[in-house]
Amino acid sequence: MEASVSALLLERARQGDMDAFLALFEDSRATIHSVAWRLVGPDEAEDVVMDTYLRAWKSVTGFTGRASVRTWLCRIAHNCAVDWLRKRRHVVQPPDAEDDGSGNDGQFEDTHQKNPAELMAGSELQGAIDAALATVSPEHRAVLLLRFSDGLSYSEIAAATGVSMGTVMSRLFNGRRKLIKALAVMGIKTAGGWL
Amino acid sequence: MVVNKSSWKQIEEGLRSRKSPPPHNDSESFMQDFKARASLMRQTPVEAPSISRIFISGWRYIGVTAAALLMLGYFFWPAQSTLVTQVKSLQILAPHSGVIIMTDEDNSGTVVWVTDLEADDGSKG
Repeated sequence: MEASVSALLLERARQGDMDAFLALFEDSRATIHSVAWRLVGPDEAEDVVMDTYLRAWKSVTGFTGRASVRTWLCRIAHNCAVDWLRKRRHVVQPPDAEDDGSGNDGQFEDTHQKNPAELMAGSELQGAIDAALATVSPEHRAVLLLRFSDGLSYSEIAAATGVSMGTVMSRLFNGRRKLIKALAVMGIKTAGGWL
Repeated sequence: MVVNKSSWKQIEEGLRSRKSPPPHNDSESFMQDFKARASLMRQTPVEAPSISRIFISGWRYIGVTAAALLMLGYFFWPAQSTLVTQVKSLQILAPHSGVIIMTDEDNSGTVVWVTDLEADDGSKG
């Protein structure tokens, strides 16, 4: 979206135009859903997303546009998730390794251009990654998954997890190291050693 | 034990396949739901600098101003003057760690020293 269009939509959203607000912010819904899904789990992710958007609507008058739309929403989503967890007295628990909440049991996996040996190796590796992720701390796991699975930027992860960019980088580094270490224990070693 | 060699790229691919699922609601139903709920709430009005806001934030500087005035009085008050500045009560609203009041009767001055006064710079968000 062009900067001039974004600025115009933001101005109209500030004046109470809901369509302009949604035109500007709806693109980020998948990202915010990922954040909510990682922070509160699959059952309440949708509620946290709606809560995030309502809070954003309420306070869009104070949004200057200095931060990106997604980073701003990630920060609100983090606050909403924290409130939600506090209210429900939940513990941050990422979904089980076996049930990722996607409803994908593997039968729709794209098997194009893969031979049986590769498929076997791939599924073994996938299982090992799941097991290795389970050994990593929730903080490291959340950052690893938000980065490598959901494709968030460092600043978005920082906003979503309520920590600084430096902490995100450090958690990514240490999380990756721990993941590789856990995989090595399972007999899967990375070709380049410690990456 | 069989050692499988994997590159970090393969591990990254494995992580990518754990992408969180897309939202259940399609865009249209989300927007309808959002509009229904958002129409029940009011947006926070834009905060513009107002006289009352300036006045309120100005309270934070009262302690500093009072101390500065008293310091000026201490240094520039005529030596012949029989007036002695006295502090009967002092209220500092901004956070601070301590207050020292020094009365110099010879020079007819009083010094109020506020330590670690935290002044509001007006920034928000």
